[in-house]
Amino acid sequence: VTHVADGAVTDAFRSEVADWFAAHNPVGWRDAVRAMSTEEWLDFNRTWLRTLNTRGYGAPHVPREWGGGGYSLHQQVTILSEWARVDAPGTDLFEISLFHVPGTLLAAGTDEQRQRYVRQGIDGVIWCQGFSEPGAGSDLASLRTRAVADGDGWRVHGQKIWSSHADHARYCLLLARTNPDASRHHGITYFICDLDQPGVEVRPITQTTGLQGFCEIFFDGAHVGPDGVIGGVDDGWAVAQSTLETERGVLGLDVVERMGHHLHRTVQALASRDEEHRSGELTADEAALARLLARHHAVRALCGHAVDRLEQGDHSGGLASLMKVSFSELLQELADWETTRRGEAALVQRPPMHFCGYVTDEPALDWLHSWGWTIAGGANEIQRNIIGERLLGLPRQPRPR
Amino acid sequence: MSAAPPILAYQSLTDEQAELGRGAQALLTARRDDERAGADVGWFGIGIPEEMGGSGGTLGDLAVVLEAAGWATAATAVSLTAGLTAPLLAAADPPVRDVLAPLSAGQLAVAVPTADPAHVGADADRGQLSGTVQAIGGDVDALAVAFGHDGRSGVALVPADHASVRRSPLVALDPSRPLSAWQLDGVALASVTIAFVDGLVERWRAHLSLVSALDAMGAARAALARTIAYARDREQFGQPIGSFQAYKHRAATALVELKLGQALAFRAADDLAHGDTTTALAAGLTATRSALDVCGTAVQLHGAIGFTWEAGLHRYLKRARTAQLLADRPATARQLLARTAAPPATRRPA
Repeated sequence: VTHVADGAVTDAFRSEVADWFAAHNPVGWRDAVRAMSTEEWLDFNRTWLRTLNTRGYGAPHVPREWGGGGYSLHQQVTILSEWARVDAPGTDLFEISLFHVPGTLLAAGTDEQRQRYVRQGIDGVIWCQGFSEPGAGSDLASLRTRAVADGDGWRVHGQKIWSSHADHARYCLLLARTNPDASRHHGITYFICDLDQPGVEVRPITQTTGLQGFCEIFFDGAHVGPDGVIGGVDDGWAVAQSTLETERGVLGLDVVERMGHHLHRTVQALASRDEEHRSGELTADEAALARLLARHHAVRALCGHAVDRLEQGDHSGGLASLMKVSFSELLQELADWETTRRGEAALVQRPPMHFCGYVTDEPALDWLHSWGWTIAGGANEIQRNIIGERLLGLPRQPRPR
Repeated sequence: MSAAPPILAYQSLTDEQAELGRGAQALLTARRDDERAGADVGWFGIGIPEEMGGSGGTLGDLAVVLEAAGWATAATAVSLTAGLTAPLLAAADPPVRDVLAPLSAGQLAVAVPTADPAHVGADADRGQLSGTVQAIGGDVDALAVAFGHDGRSGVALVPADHASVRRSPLVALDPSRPLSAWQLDGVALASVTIAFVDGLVERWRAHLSLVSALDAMGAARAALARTIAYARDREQFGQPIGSFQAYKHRAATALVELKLGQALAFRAADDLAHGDTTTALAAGLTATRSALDVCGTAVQLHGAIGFTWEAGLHRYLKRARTAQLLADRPATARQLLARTAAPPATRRPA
C-alpha cells in the first residue's frame, strides 16, 4: 500500500485506489443481496468490511495504530469517490462502529476503552447508538432514560428509539440521565452498554421502505460497569455533541460521491440514446438533468471547501450543517426525478433489498429512503435553527414557558 | 448596523486575495457608476500573464474583484473585459498581444452581447458583421462579438467609433449595469481586430458563466448581510424578528444557497484556469439561480421597506437577474451535458 506521508492526493494514489476497487468490487452484489437471508447478508457485510480493511478503506479516517487507514481527509474523499465510481457496497451496517466509536473513544475514552473496543469495532463488531427516545427527538436534552448507581456500576431503565441496526448490535453508545436534579444539559452521562444481557430487549421497526433499518431498545435494569462511562459522570452532553457533528458532515461525503457517479452514468446514457436530439431543443429530461448535475457540482464544491477548511485546522464547525441540508435535499430531488422518469415501471416494487448503499438502481427505494437523510442526524429543520443561530448569529427563539 | 457574520464571506482566500477584495469593495462602492473603475489600478489585466501585457495574477485573484463588483452593484466593465474578453484573446491562435496590453491598462473597456455567442455574428461568412446587437456596457471603447468565418470561430473587437457602427443606450431592467444597442451596418472583418480561438463558443459560455456567477454571488452576499442586520435590529411582537423560526429558516436557506454558489463559483475559477470548463458551466446554471433566490429572500424578509426603491434591495435582485439571464440558459445546459459526456482528456484531481 502506498502511503503518501503528507496526505496528498497524487495521480498514483488515485489510480491505485481505483484499481483496487475495480478488482475487489463484488460485481452483481445488488441482485445477490436480494436473495440473501439475514444471516447471509450479515456475513456478506462482514466479509466486505474485512476485504476493505486489508487496505484501511473500512475506516480510512482512523489512525493505522487503531486499525484504520490513517488517510488524510482529501485522500478519504478520493477513496469514497473511487468506491462510488464502481458502485461497490457501502458499510452502513457498521456506521456506528466505524465512525462514532473511534470518534468518541479516541477523543474522550479511557485507554482501556480504546484498547478494548476501537479495533474490534473496525473489525466488524456492530454497535448502535442509543440517543433518541419516544419523548426526546429533536429535543434530545429532554431524554428520560435513567442510569441509577448500583454498587460500583449502574442500572439502566428506559426506552431508546431509532437505533439503526440495534437488532444486530453487540454494544450501544447510550445517553442516560444520571442526575435528575441537574439542568437539562447537565446530569446526562455517556455510557457503553453491552446489549447481550438480561434487561435489554430490542425490537426492530419497519421503515417506509419496508425494510428493518432501526429499532426500539427497552432497558429494564441492564447493567453497566464503572468502566462503561465515557468522559465524566454527568458530563455526557458535551461528549455527544462532538459525535453528532461527525454524523452531520463526513458521512454525507459518501452520498455526495454516489450521487455524482450516478448522475454521470445518467448523462452518458442519455447522450448515447438521444444522439438525434443533440442539436435540437433541450428536452425536459435534459434540462432537469443539467440542473441536477449543476446542483451536484455546487454541493460537491461546498463539501470540498469544508474539507479544505478542516485540513487547514479550522474546526469552528458549522459547515457540517450546510453540507447536511444541501446533500440530503439534493438526494430527495434526484430520487424524485429518477422515480418520475421511470413512470409506471416505478409502481412495481422489486423484491426488497437489505440495505447496503445509497443511490441504488432502485429510484423509488432511494426516494423513500431520502427522508432518512433529511430527518436523521438532526432533522433539517433543526439544522436550519443551528445555521440561523450559530452561523448567522440570529437571536434565539423565545423559549416556551 | 451590526457587523456582517464572518460566514458570509468566502473563507478560502489567501491573505492577499482577502485584502484585494476589501480594496475592491471600497473602490467600487466609491465609484459605483464608473464603468472604468479599477482600470487605473490594473484590475482589467488580472489573470493575463505579464509577458502578454497583462497584470499577472490568477483567475482566482480576478474572481475576488468580480465578486466585489456584484457586492457593490458597480457598473465597472472589469467583469466582461478582464473576465471574458481578455482570456479569449489570450487563448487566440496567434495571441493578439497588441490589444491585450491596452486592454490590461484599462484603455479598452469592452461591451459584450447579451445573447449566446452561437447566435451573434452568424452571417460573417461574407466577411462582414451586420445586425443589431444588444450588449452589456455603455460608455465603452469596443464591442466583443463572436463570429464564424471560413469554418473557424473568432472574436471581433468592433470599436465604438467605427464608421459603420451606431450605438444607442437602452433603459436597463438593472440600473447598475449599462445596456446598449449596437447597430452594425456591414462592419468589414478586415477593418477591426479579430482573433481566431479554438473552441470559442464553449470558452465563451464558460467564462460568461463564471463572471455571471461571481457577480451574482457578490450581490447575494451583500443582500444577505443587510437582511441579517435588519433581522437583528427590527422588532415586532416585542422580539427581534430574526428570532422567529419562520424567519430564521428562510435566512438559513438563503445561507445554504449563498455558500453553495460561492463554493462553486470560486472552485470554477480555479478549474477554468486549468482549462476545465465543467464547473464554470455548472456555476452559470445554478449559482446564478442561488443568488436570485437569496436576493428575492432579502426583499421578502425586509417586508414593505424591502419593496421600496429607496431601500435599494432591488439593485441586488436585478443584478442577480441580469447574471442569471446571461448564464442560466439552454445553451449552457447543453454545453454542460456535452462536456460531462465527453470529459477533457486530463482532469484535475478532485
